Amino acid sequence: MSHGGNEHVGGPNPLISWLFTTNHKNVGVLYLVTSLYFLVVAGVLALTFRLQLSEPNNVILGPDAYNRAMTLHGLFMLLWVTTPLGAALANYFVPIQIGAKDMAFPRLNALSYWLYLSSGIVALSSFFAPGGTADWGWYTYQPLASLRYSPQIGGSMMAFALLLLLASTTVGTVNFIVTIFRLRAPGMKILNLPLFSLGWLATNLILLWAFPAFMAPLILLVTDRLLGTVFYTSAEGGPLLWAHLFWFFGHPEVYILLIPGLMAVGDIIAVSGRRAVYAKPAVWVALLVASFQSWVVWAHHMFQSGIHTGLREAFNITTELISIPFAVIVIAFLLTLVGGRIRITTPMLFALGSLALFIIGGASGVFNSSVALNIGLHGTFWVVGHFHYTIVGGGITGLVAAIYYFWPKMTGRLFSETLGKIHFVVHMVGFNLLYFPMHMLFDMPRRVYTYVVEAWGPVNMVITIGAFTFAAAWALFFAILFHSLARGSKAPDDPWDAAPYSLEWNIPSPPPEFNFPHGIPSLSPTGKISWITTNGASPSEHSHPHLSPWPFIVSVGTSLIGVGLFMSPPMTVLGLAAFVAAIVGWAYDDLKDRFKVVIEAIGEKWPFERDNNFSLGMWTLVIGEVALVGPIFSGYVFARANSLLTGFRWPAPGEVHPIELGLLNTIILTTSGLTATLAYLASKKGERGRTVLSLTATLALGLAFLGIKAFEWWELHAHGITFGTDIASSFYYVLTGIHASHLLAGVLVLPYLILKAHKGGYDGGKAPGIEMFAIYWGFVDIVWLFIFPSFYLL
Amino acid sequence: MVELLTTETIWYSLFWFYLMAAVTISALVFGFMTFVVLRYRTKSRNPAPSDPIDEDFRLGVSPKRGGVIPVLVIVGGLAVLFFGLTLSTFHANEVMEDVSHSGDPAPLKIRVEGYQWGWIFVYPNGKKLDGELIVPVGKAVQLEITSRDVYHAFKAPDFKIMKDAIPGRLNYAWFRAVEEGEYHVQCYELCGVGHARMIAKIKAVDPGTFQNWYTS
Repeated sequence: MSHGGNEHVGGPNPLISWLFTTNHKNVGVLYLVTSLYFLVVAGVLALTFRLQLSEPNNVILGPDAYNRAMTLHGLFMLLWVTTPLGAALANYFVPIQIGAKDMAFPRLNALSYWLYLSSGIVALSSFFAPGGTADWGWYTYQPLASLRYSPQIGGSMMAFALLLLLASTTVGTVNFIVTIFRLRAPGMKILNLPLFSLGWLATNLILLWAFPAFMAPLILLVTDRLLGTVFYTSAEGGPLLWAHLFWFFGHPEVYILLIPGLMAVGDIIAVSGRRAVYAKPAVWVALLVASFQSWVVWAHHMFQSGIHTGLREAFNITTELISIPFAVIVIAFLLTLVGGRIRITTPMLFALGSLALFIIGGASGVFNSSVALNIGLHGTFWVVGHFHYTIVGGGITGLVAAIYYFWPKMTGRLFSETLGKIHFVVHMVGFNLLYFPMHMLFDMPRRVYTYVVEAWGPVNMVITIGAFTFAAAWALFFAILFHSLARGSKAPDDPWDAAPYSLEWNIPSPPPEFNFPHGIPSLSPTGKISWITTNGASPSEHSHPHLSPWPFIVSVGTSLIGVGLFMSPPMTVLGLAAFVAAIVGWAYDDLKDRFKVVIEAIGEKWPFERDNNFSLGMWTLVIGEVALVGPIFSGYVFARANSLLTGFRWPAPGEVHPIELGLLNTIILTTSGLTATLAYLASKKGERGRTVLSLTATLALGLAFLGIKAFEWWELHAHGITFGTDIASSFYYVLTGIHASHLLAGVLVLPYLILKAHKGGYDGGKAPGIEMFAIYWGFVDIVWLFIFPSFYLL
Repeated sequence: MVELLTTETIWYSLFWFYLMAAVTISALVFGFMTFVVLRYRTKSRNPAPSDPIDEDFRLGVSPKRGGVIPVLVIVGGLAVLFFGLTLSTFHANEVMEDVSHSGDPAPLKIRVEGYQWGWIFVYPNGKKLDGELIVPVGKAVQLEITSRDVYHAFKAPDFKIMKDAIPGRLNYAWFRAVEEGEYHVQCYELCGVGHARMIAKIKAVDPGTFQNWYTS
């Protein structure tokens, strides 16, 4: 795949330009290729266990191999395939659809991709670690996933890989939220966005909370496994602590997987029917309502765990209600077609197919939401059938439609419509043969490597035949894409006659490096596209200001750290060195102002007109951080409430943690918050001396805090209170540890800020560094204000 | 003889109710979808430039497309449907959950302990069986379910009863066998390499046989 961005005369060699690229389209292509590769890996794993399950008492896979294959299949398909597949198309098309030349933070965008790749590499390497990888199912129930029952090192590697992946996604989320809010073309109101971009915005608003919220239980899992804390092995925390925290993330994740595909389907339907989207504002409201509702349905995954009846009934109702916004969306899409002139193309077939499959998945979901029916359906193949209809039917099939739809734009090549239609038939036959019969196995448990009940045999055979048919559909899909690349005829700029509908069909296929050769796109209030011509001052397209090696090197570093940590210590050292070098290099580029971001001065920025991209980015990140720390605090409350039942005596105030030291640190930290704010105000006024002084004071106070904290930890250890002493010490160490590492990160950034301030880099607020630091530091202060009473006073 | 209440009959009647609703609604939606696609399908690639449809077809929100009423109809219709489904669910759930609805004043109480990998059943008199639960036909049996090690889930699909077996917690379920025979029991939560083989059976025998065995 190649496109305009890489075809400069005298540009760097292609390998370097792929490794160091920060262009959103290149990053999108990297995402696409990688996620499809992972899809093949996870798909082949599924074929192996479908073979095993094709008849009772089969012996192709043993229980060990089956459990690993099934776990990796689930984790990969959800986190390394479907989410990034949406991200791939979003990376490529959201900036174009909103009328931007690139993302708000192109280097962070590259970083997201490279961290994603390295997380995938660490996760796949865990397969080859001694004892194998995680084998506890994607939802990692406790205490099965604890060191006691699953000691294999590959399991810890998988947990680490997940943390890397979540970091990658969170960086990407911040980037997309800032980009969509602040980089829109003039006249491009939020509701003017095509559905795909609108859906991606909703997805990111969920991602912003969900993925950091998943980090919380994972961090506790990693410390349980590596440091010996007792979150999931103690009676006060235990299996239900994991289940609550995990599903709090786990259900919103479902909508993250679904929305990008579903909304692409909406665009394709509008374009193919040549009609404006029916009730677009209602679709947008429905998306927002569903995003909100996705936070209050998690306990329906725990209906059989013995949680209180009233709570279950409440979650029964919230779960049913979440189908209403999706019904609104589906019906709006169908009404869009009324009065249209529908052209049945390959993307349209897949769009309609996806919608149909999603309707079936939605209907079977209503059964699961019933607390009573759930008794019979929970943990069975019915559930497997249900969620594959929604995620593979609604999500992935929609994304297949989107790939076909966007393909001519990305590659400049058409694909064979005939082959595409054959592909559709094979896809639908395979899909329904594979997943529909699963509903008939509503007595058969999922996640078993074999079964003794003979009556389940024939249906399983049909399912396996369906699985191979479905696999053939994917092989055909890839063949069609390769055929198009090699032999496809040249695609026009607007192969679907969609120019009035969305910006990407108004520019060349494939698009040039900065997307819009005709000028800056602009929208009239009625949605007519016009072009504001600039006086030729488009960014220097031949100087490659957009290449940066650091995101790639950061990722090499983290992969080495990740694999090395578990398999070879020298590798970790090497990785750490690469990581530090990349960070220093990145900072140096920044100090010298080497990297140019291409952003138009004019545009639609509602509702963040008064912010700048950096402060909005930092605020967004802070929201993500709240979503990380918040669940850990809820875990603390959960465990303390449980300790009343289990009879565990929580240490009295002052008994373990000296109140004086805590108070001293509170004073130090709040003072440092003040000095950080003063530094920001001084830099804005251009008072260089005061800025440097305030920053230095912040640094000194930060170091003092860390010194006292280190002393406290030291004292505790000396008195035999370690990570694993009890649930109280586990929470103390992990919460103060997370807080201290955040503080340390700030302290490490401070010398750089001081240096740049000294050189006048922030005079008159011309660079946002100190403002971002002050926001971050304020957040770190506030977290401490929760930690202090929780452990020292209560 | 009065027909005795069983958990599986309650479950199945609720299931058919849901299935009827699901099939009806899906059929309506699919019918509408098929109608729309067939009715408005066209083969001509290029509509006339003056085609009024294109006027409407552009970025942004078309004021002509969409109203509040269809949205309210969908939201209201589904809300009414869900209200009905939920009421019947809550009723069924109450009966399935609480052994006092079984009509049996003195149900047989059994403690169920899951372990890696099997099931132990403990009777009130201390009798203990591994992998087999013997119950008298017609009697309501209340299970107190827990685990000795990791998270398991107890399920007897024929009776449509299930509860997670969690270390340190007790969960309850009840059932009643109305016919003699052997019924399947299995763990429904992944619990390690032996998960698929974590199987037991419920053997329902006539009350006389049970009494002889129980007191022997």
